Amino acid sequence: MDTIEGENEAENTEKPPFFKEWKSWYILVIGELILLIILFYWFTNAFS
Amino acid sequence: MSLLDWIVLAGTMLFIVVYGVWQTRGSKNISDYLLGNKKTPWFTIALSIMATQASAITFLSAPGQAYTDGMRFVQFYFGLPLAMVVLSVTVVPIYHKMRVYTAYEYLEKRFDLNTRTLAAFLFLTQRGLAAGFTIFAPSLILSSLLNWDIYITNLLIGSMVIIYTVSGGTNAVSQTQKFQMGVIMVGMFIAGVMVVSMLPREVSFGNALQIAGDMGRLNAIDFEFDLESRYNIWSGVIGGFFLALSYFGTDQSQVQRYLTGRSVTQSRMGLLFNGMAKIPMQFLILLIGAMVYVFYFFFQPPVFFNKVLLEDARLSGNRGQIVELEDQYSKAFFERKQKALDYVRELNTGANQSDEALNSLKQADQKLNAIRTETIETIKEIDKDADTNDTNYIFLNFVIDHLPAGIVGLLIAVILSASMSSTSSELNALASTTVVDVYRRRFKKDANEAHYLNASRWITVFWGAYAITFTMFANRLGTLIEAVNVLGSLVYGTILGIFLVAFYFKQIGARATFAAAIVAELIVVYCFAFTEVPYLWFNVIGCLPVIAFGFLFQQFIKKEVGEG
Repeated sequence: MDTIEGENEAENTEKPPFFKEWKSWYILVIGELILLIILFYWFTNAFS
Repeated sequence: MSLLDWIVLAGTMLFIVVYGVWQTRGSKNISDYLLGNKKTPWFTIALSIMATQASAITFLSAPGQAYTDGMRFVQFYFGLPLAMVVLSVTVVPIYHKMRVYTAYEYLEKRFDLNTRTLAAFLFLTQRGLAAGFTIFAPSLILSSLLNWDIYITNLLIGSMVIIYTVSGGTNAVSQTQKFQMGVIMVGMFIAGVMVVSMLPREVSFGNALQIAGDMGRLNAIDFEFDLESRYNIWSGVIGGFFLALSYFGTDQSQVQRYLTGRSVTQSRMGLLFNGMAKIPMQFLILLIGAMVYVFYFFFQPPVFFNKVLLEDARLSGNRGQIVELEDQYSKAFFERKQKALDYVRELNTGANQSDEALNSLKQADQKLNAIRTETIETIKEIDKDADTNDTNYIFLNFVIDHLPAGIVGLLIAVILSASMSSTSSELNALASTTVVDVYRRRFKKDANEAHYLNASRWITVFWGAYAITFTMFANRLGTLIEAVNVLGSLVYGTILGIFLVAFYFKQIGARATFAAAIVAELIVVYCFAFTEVPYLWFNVIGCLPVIAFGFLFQQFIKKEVGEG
């Protein structure tokens, strides 16, 4: 079990691709969602 | 279908099956068979997650929904990216740490065997039915529109999936899903380009968007909080979040996809990519539906899209009435077409008369819709049991009637690919849960690897046969995509509640959680049977009582223990 937890800690501290930390990925995903909602709001109003 | 369509369709299907079997031949142990030896890279995981969720129903129903109800269905997915982030932060590291084969295995480590069995049972019940549904839905529509025998269609789709899923296990599922997603993306892109390019020369893409918007088909966002409204931003973000959290965090058909990742990073990236790609993909599919809606302003649609039911109505002795309605519909269509062309002319010349032209167009549209409604009522009078919701037939009608040879075959390959990709994940997950959570845990604890591998293969065959058998007895359906989501929402909330207690409320024990889960499920069933609450809220209604009653029951248990 120690080995498994040790391996897991290594996995958790593994850096994500393209960014320095995972927080940046999470912000990107949520930021895209907000952007899409704004774009859809514009889209809905622009054509109705 | 032309010979070219058959060649494209048969070639694509044959390639998928052969590729799946050949690429993943020779699984030697259960870890390889059920988890792919945890070697899958994130991009394959992401495509696999998307292919599992996007069944044939997505591609048949969603464009039809945009046609009849507009694009507001896209809001259903707004909670998904949030759920992907929460799962990446919390659940993925726990599953990797525990080195589990199934999500339910974790529940025994946290609670007890009963809670694990309850969650596995809810999953097997719901997913077993859904697997049959995933095959049946496209079969019903394809057989109806192309005069294929529905039983043979069910059998063919089911058998193709069983062959490569049994042969290669989870690896075969992931590998074939990559190719299936490729077919789906190319097919839908071509359909989108074709529908816009086939509009009359004077109607630009901008004009088409304007007409769709004016007719209420581009309603992608609705901010009004209304519990009666099935899709608005609030039900999408809140209900959709709970549904996605439960589906991706606790449904083995999805958990198994990212458990194959070789590290936490690979699994997380797979989920996050899905969180970023899903809404744009769904938006584009709905937009294709909105464009099909505009296309039918200029090319006459059938008065009712389920042609088999229409023909049955004609042959029932009310032929005269139906033919008369069709004549009226035809005249009303040409009137509306003229008004639509007038409106486009006004838009393009920038004249001030466009409001007037739009009002005329709306009146002509109402007239056309009134005749369609009357036709549907007539069909219903002739056959009281007839399912007169033709939403699922709209897109495929367009494909078959208007797209050129070769493309029709490709689009039908899209539908079948989507059906097979979801079904294969479902069979794989059903087999994993049955073997790991039931068979190995309760019946045969100390057998060797070869035995469990063999058992996994036979149980996959069993679930495949079960799904096909379900399709043979399935009969009438409403809007397919909704029916699947309603079915899932009946149990997802409760399962999610159990997992949320497991992850975040360490003070609540096994007995309290188990009892709370039973109460929560009864509340959901009551709401489904006796109230009008929209189904997305079932995910919240099922989840929160598990936590609330869990706390409450835990107090009683504490007292009992204290008094004892």
